[in-house]
Amino acid sequence: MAFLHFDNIGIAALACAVPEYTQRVNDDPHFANADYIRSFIRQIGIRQRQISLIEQTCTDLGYAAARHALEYAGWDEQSLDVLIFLSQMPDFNPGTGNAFILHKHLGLPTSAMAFDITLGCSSFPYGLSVCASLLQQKHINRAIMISGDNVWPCVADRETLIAENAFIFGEGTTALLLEKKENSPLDISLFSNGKGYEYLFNPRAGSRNNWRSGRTITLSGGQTINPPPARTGQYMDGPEITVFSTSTVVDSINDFLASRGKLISDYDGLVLHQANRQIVRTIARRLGASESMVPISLDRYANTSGASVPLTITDAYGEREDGRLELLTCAYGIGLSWGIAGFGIEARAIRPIFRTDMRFDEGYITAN
Amino acid sequence: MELKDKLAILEDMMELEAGSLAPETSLEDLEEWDSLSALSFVVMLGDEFQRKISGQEIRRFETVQDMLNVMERDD
Repeated sequence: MAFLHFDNIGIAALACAVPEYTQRVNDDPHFANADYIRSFIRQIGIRQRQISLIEQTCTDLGYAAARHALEYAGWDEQSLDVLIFLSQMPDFNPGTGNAFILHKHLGLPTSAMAFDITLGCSSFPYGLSVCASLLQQKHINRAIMISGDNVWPCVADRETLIAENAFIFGEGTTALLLEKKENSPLDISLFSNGKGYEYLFNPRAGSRNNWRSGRTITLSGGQTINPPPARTGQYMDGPEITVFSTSTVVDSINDFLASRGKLISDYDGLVLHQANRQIVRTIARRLGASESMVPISLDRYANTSGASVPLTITDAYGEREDGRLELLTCAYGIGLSWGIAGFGIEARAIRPIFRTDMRFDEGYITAN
Repeated sequence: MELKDKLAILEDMMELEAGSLAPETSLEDLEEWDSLSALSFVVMLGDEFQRKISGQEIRRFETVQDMLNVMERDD
């Protein structure tokens, strides 16, 4: 059973960088599809997102967030022992992990370990479990965890991207600094259900269908689907994902609380993955959490995949200067994969979200 | 719960005018029955009837009657 407890994990800083460009859902009442957009906004809750129009990736944003976090904490990059990049969208895929590109740009020593973990929306508690486990080692004292994915590479070109009227995913990348610290408990529960891999996946992306063209895909039960022909045309079984997120996830959070002898009211905030406002509110209601303790960021940032939970923390608490927050966080998604993490954090360690057009100018195709 | 109350819940959920649904209404012809309203249906079923439903069951729905059939409490 993947129930983890640590006594000695402190959070030194959490920073979040987003692209400069703000794109709004088209809420023009005269738009041909206005009825659909109205129910889209009402039910999903997304009104706008930040997205790059300048081929900026989560590696660039991760660098900006990491630099900001290191400066705030006063850490020298040479003191880092671990760099983990949580992403499903490497700059060079398949092949080099984003962690190595950041290892170079941040100037980490070769004695630091750097690697990627391939997880989507559920990555935050998983990354915490790996960092916290490594920090139990005598010679590992400081870790940096970067969370982020890209959206613009899934769209054919800039014009198509700008013309989108409604969207689910947005961009933002977070950097979290973790260190050994006495009397700083961290509790994590992790879950997976591979039987649900077909409920949410990109059947055309990756190896399985690389030699095949056409639209129709046959699932393991014999059922056929026709996901959109986009480069990463994601297929989602809406009802299954709804049952998963509003029922299975709620049961797991209740198990987490029961196993730790905690109540939802012991926490200052319940930070949930931001995919859909109706799902967030349903989970909160079923847990008996007041609306005021469940921050919403998806109206302005959409679903930022693995960055969603840490981005929401920076959005909700980044302006606070004093006090300590006890947070219960839950991330869930593709896999199926989900996890819960409960921890305390000094409010001033949570930095406000900032925008940047910073981009490393290397590795691009520049001539035929 | 009476039939007219159940129909009212579904009409409200799909933002349809009162009285526009009947048990024999085909879901295939109903533009408002999409992934968004399927989500609302699953949430409503849990809240109002304490019932869970699988995606497979929902995919088998053909008419409004199929939705009405699951809108019952287990007890």
